[in-house]
Amino acid sequence: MSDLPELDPIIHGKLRLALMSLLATTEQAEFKWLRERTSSTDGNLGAQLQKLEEAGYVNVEKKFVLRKPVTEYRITEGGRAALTGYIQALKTLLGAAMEL
Amino acid sequence: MTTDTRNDLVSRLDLMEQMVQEGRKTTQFYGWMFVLWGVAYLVAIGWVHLLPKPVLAWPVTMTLTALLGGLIDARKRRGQALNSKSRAVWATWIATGSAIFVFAFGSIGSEHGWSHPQVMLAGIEVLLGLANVASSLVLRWRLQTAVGILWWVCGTASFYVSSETLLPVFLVGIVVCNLGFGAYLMYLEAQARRQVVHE
Repeated sequence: MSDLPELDPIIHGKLRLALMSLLATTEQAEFKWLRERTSSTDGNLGAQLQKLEEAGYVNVEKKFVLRKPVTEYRITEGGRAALTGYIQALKTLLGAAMEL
Repeated sequence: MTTDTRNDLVSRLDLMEQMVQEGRKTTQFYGWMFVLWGVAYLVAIGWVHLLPKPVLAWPVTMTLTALLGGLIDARKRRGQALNSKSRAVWATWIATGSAIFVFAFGSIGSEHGWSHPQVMLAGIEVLLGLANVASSLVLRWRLQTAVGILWWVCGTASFYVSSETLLPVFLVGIVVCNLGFGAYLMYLEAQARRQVVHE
């Protein structure tokens, strides 16, 4: 069992995994759109996005559109690689579970 | 590995699949843009025939429509996401719109430009066909391919028809490809919105 990979704890959280999956299929996404898709609260969403940003998995850009503040998120190359690694690890673990 | 752990891992896979689908289906709604430009063409044509200073009709109407369209688009895009498909469609229309502006207004001072309205209008119609066909190939949408081909038919016809028939040919393109197609697109978008609300 020691050969089994470990799942990245930053990505493994349900909301963070949902965010990474959403950001992996979009070029950029606004805070409001992410909140609607994940049905999360502002506070929780902000906290989880900050964790992803601190890990270097997500980039944040704050700007003004028509004088209104807009916060856009993008997945980084490191984030994409981490998500790919997570999926590989998940597949390996599930494959091992099927063999048991 | 316990059953609980295995179920938890499977639930993560399901979650990822669900979110990937959410991300892929995000596209902006643009039916209003077709209708806006269709109305703008009609306003410009009406101004040329009914109002003073007809020479200003097209430059003023088109510039104001571009500004208005950009403003509405910026408002509508707030709180949205952009995926590669929506960026490809957006890029197609921005590039074509810019090309039409350069083509139509860059030639204003030239003796080879609007003194040959058949050629100029044909060029614009062909460019509109190009944008629709390119967009339809990105979206894999045959109806929009047909719209683009109709613009190409109008463009080709413009080379051969008399100057009196030039305007009716353009009007066919405007009514079918902008107003008709735009209205149908808005209807589809309204249906999609209702579906999202009920989900």
